[in-house]
Amino acid sequence: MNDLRIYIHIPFCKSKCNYCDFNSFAGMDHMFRPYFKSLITEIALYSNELRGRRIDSIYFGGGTPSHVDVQYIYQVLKCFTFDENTEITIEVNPGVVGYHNFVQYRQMGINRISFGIQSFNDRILMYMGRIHNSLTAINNIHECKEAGFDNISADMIFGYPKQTLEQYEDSLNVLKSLEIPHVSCYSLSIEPGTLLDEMVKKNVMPMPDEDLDRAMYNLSIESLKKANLQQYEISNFAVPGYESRHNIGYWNRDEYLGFGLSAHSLYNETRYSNTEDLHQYISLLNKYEKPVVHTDTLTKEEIITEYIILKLRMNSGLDIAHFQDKFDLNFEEKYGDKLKTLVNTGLLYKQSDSYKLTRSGMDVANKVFVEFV
Amino acid sequence: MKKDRIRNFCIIAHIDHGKSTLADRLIEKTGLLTSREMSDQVLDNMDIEKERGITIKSQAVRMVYKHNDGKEYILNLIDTPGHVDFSYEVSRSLAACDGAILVVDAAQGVEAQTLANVYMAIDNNLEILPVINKIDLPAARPELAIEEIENLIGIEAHHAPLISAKNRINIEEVLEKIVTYLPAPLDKSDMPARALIFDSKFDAYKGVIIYCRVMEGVIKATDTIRLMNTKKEYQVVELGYLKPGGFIPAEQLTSGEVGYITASIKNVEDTRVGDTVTTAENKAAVPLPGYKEAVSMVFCGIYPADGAKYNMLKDALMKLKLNDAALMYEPETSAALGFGFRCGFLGLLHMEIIQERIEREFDLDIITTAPSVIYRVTKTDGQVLRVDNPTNLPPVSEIAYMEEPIAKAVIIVPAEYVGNIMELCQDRRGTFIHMEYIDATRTKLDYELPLNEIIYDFFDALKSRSKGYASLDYEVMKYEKSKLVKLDILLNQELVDALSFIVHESKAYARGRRMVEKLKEQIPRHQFEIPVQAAIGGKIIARETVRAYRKDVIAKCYGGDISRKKKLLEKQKEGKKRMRQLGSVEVPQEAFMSVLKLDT
Repeated sequence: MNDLRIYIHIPFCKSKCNYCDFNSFAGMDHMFRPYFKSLITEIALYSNELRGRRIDSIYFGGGTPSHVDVQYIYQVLKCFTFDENTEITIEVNPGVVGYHNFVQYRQMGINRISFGIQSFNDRILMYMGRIHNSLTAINNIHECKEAGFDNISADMIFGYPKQTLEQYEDSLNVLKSLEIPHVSCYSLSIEPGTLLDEMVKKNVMPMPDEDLDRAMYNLSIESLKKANLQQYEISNFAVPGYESRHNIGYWNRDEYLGFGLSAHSLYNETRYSNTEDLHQYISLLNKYEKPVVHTDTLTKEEIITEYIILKLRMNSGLDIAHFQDKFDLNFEEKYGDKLKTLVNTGLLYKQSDSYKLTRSGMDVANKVFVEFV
Repeated sequence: MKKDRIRNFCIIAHIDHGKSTLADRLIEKTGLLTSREMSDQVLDNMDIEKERGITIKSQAVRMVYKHNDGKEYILNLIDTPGHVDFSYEVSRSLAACDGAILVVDAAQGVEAQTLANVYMAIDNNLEILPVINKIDLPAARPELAIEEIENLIGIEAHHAPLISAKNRINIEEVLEKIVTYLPAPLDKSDMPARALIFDSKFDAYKGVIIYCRVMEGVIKATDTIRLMNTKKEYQVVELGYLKPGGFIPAEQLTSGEVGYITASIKNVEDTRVGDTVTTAENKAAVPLPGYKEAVSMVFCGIYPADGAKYNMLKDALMKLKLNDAALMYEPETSAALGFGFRCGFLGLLHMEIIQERIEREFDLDIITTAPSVIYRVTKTDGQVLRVDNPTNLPPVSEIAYMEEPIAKAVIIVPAEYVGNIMELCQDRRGTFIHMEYIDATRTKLDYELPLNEIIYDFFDALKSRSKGYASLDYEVMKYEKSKLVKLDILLNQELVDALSFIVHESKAYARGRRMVEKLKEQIPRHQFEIPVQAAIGGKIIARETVRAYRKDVIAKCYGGDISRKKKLLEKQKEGKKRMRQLGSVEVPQEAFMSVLKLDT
């Protein structure tokens, strides 16, 4: 049996950011107790799936996992059997937890911290609706290191309205000076229904410029490379050896079980998703029913599509031999004409028996992916 | 059957005034169908008709009504198409009747189209029985509706039954009035047979089914019939009466009766509405008056969105033509769109219906080019051309002058919107002819309007300028000299023939401007910059630019995102499928249609 991966969703936040369209709630702290009770019940309902499987990674995402008491995280983590090689990540917002909590995280087995930094420019942070400032973030990273963490990641956003190239470059420089071995840089996408979406529609905020966005993307790649942070996926950079195993698992289509509100799973080539309704989630689990509301058993064609678009996200690309091995199909025969066109238009290239996105292919990756849907 | 026990009638009404509902009630009331058998509207049996609430293809139904005089009466209800495009078909249906029920909405009053149809009925010497419908609506003003009928049409209306077809109020009174007020057909059974075809339909088993009213003489199931205008003869296979959704075979049809005939006829073109059926043995001397060939007024190109489906499109048109003799088509090719068909229609609605039926009934994605009328082009060498496709227009240097069709338009509109509508007509190069108040609140406007202005989004503009209240009827009356130019669209410097159209010189600049603006919105960003230009005779009059895209990427793709992002890509792929490759540019199908609706 292959290793399994675990995702835990913590849907609570102190406040909601302007660009956020995740399933997360601010001001619902009174729901912590019933939520975690349900979460633990849910994990118990999967004892068959968990039995005998080594867990290679556990990821606490949100929302803001650091917003809930450390005790809750511990109770959840206790439900799983893991070893010292298991990568255990928790997402943390700057300033929410201090040195003492980081020590507790370490003691319970967490070995990777992912900070939601987004920017080191206070004005941009304000536009984003973040509640921390740059100084808090810098201090918090230091506290985290002092508590013994070296596997630290930072999330950054670029292409935000009113953000300039210089501001973004300054943020990247601060980041590099902190010597963090993993960075995710996300090109902003304005999701419908968010506060930011409304602001842009009402001309309170300008529409971000695509050319500037791409200049910032370029800068991310070039600037981080100088600090030995190598790009390994469209939006991810790491000092070699510090890549996120958990996330690479998603792109390799490893099996994972997601627990918590709106969590997703891939198990036995079937994708499951949990309800997004907090009250339904709790009431189903009160009856010991799994909160799954959507099940999608993938056909072979769908599996192939997923395989291609997820592999191509990574700089290592799609290995023809691996494809052949997995599907008993010749990748180049199956997609000959499409591959030719994509290579000719400069979006794909072939390197030592792997197909990879070119630099400009990364700008318009959807145009490539759509050919394989 | 005694002729005094037969009533042949139709129902005249504006769209939505309740024609089909009343028909349903009459059928229900005479006990032909149980209410369980009644699908919502029995007579409208095409999906599109149900959705649009209008009747396109006419049919007939025979009802047996027991009157309170104790006798049974045969009521033949002949349904008429309810739109201006089908006025010839309407006129033939009317000619098959002896009387007509005029349904007027108690809240809306008389509309332009109703008026046109009533005039036509009166021309056919029909007795008109007015009925006021929807009297239970809060906004109902039955007295006003009655007054309008009397003022506008000049017929007595105070005896009109006040009904609600929807809520089954007073239906009995309508049936009763049909018997007492509408005339019975005259008995002319001893004359040579003449039956008027008011509809025909292709059936996979029976071949063409002729729907007809026997005006004179007798047609027997053993006869050989002759169609007088097409001059073709066929042995009758079966004839008889009609019931909703079925047939009642009989031995003969005699004068005054309405029924069907099948005779192994393979093509509806041979049984054209308005033609006369007689018998081969005892031929009538002359056909019934009023027969007209179908005349296409509006033309457009229809192309398969996927070029490989040309044969499927051809097949679809062939099958539609089986039941629609007014549909014309012939192959044409476009540099931009490849192989397709030039199609001719009775009018804009007819065109839209055919387009919709192709997409719906045959599951084909199609691209249609700008509708065009027939222009008369006189060349410098004296040669006269009829041009229904802008691509076929000769070079400007060879044109002496051009003429365009002018329609006589009648618009009825509440007085408060008259200003708006006159402005619209003026803007559409209309010539004001006459205006009259038909009652305290409503006005009838007569205009002469170029047909190419009417087919260009006129209905929508009319509706939006009158909050939906204005109604229109039009008829082409003449050709007039006009300063017309051909407007071309260039995408990435390449001319797109499918987007060219002919427009009046005074409108060309504004139209070109709006077209490029609209195309700019419609054409997705490409990897390169795309100039969108409008040109007249090689001179660029407007330009916009579709900027190149720089970014199309899902930045975040983790465990919870994969299904969602996959759907996003699937949608993008669907969108791509609906794109048409024009040179190096991908253009969504919608762009072809939406540039024709620049007003809204």
